[in-house]
Amino acid sequence: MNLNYQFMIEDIPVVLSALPVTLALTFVSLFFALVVAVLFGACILKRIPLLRQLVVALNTFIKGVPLIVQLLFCYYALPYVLQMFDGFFGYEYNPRNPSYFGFAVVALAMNYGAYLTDVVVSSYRAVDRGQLEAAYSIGMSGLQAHVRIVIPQAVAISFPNLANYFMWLLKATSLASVVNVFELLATARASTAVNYAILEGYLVAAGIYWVVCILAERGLNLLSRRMNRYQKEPRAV
Amino acid sequence: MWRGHELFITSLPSLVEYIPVTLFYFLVPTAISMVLGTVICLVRVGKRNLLYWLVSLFVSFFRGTPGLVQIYLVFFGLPEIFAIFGMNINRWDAGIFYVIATCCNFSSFVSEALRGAYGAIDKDQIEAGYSIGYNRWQCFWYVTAPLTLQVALPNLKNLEIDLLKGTAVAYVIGVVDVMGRADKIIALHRGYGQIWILLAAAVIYFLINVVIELVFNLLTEYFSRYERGLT
Amino acid sequence: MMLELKNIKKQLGGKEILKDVSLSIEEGEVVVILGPSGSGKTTLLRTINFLGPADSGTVSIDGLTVDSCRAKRSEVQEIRKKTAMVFQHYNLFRNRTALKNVTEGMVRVQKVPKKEAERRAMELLENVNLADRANAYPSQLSGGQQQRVGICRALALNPKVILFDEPTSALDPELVGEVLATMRAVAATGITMIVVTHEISFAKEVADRVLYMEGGVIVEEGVPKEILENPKDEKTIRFLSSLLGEYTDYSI
Repeated sequence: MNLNYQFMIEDIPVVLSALPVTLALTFVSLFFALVVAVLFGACILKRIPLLRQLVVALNTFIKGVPLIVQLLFCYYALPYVLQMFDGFFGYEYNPRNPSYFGFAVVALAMNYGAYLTDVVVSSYRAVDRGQLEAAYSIGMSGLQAHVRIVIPQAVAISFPNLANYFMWLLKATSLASVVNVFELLATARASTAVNYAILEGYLVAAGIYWVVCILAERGLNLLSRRMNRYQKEPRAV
Repeated sequence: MWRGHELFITSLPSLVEYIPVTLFYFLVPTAISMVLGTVICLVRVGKRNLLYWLVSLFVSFFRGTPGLVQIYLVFFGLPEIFAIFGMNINRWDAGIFYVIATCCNFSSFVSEALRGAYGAIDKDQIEAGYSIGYNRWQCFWYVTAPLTLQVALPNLKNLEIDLLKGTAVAYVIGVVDVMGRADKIIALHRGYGQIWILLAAAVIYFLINVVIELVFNLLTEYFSRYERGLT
Repeated sequence: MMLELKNIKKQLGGKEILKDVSLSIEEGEVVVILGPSGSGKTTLLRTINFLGPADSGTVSIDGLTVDSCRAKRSEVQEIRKKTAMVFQHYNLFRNRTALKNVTEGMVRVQKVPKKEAERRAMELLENVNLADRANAYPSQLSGGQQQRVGICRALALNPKVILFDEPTSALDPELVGEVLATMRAVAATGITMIVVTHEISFAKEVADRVLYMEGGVIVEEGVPKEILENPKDEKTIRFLSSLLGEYTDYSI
């Protein structure tokens, strides 16, 4: 196979320079997705009358629509939304320079927020009710009991699932290349514009994604085990 | 922003026309990947020989790289591989490349789901099968496979839904399914109405997903029909 | 009078679990509640600290009276600060060490300074021979050890009343003894205790008063000698004989 190996090696640092963008996209989206998930999860867990049904319906719809459709939707719709806010609190909308990165974050955060809502709800419910009762029995307020006892345990329980979604999100950022975000894949493609070594460019991108995913998975596994170290079943003593 | 909202209604018929195409790109990889995924899974739970490591590398690659990248790799790379043998496959339909890439991807995920499920089933059932005289094939077909499928079903449901949503990405290499058609309609109306066309496509995908969920719910009920417990 | 329950009623799922129960307990009394499953004894206990509030009736502890149907959150918290509970499944905080489990209430709720709280906690743990396991997590402790830590956690708060909800029911038989011994020591300190249990020996030896509950009402009550050796009500007799049938080495 006559691949331009020379080019591939030279291309690696070029493509790698876009890794921070991909990582930033992943982390920022994950952050906002978690914010959404906690808000929505709270609506569901507290059974707030109208909001709960609304949230469930919204999530069901979002989970049933392809991410690429959502990305494109945000790409076209958000400029209009921003234009509406032009003039509010001194915000100046510049139509020449829209933040494609931001649009992608919105789409990714909404999409993953829907899935993470399920994780938040199920991991909260997985914490033994007795823990909450014990906290109440020693006189803790609801807030104290949740912040100090229930939520830390829910986070630890949810971690393997969260780690899984992190990996999915990392790979999903590649779709942002379709909506003008210069992350890893888009950079790889652009780097081959001069010599038409398209396949080589994609191979480099694939290689980098692969390595990053393997490293991330190892790291997350370690973290997951550390977080759950006290959840082991009691040994017979 | 509201300009072109009538496009939501008007684009629906032409989008609906392409639902069979989307379904094709959903069903064909499903069928192939179920078989391929089972084979891969069998290798992955077997002996740690050369085949095991090769297959594991394959699975690791297709699970550790984004689907879009894989599609491009197959689209540009497969012709190169065939060129070695002197074959020119550049005139193949883009859809074939998509199917190949997706099958490699999907069967990797299916094999992991099956592998996890296999680890979770009650091995005593298999022993019971052998004890009544089943041979290896019978035990697999009558005991192991049904149990594994039952446990794997929720995971498989989610994977299938992801597969369907994944078909929407095929348009980047020129496949014309629902999303591909939507892309063409958007190009026709350059400048306005894009969000309404996309909304129409979104609704269609959502409805197809609802059907898939229903099918899987029925399947789950069928597979757990013995687990009703004492009424 | 330390604790008084008046006209406690509770329904669950359409069924009346507690049918107008009233009870008063003096300071320092150890009261044991016996009864078959479904009698409402655990439900009654949980109405006291509002973990399962009654539908109607009042709960008074050390001068503070709260009406079950109109209980405000702050009132409930005040009641809970006067009581402590030892649970059937221990319910130790899984994400805290034994020591931290005991100090949590002191530091977070009673605002005791950390050093002082840790000193008192270690003292309590020493009393139950668990000082060497102070830094272990619950998942590293046996059931009996966890329950003893649970008792320390309850004692650490200097409650007016300690509620024991079947504290030994979930334990392997060989671990029951150490927990009962701890409870005996607690009773000897003069603190008010309400214990729901099946352990007749504990009732006989430590209780000041025994209540027999069945079907949501207190059927009979009195000093242990009376109730356990000369039960008057037919229901009590039936329950005790079915229970004592297992304890062939028990002599009346």
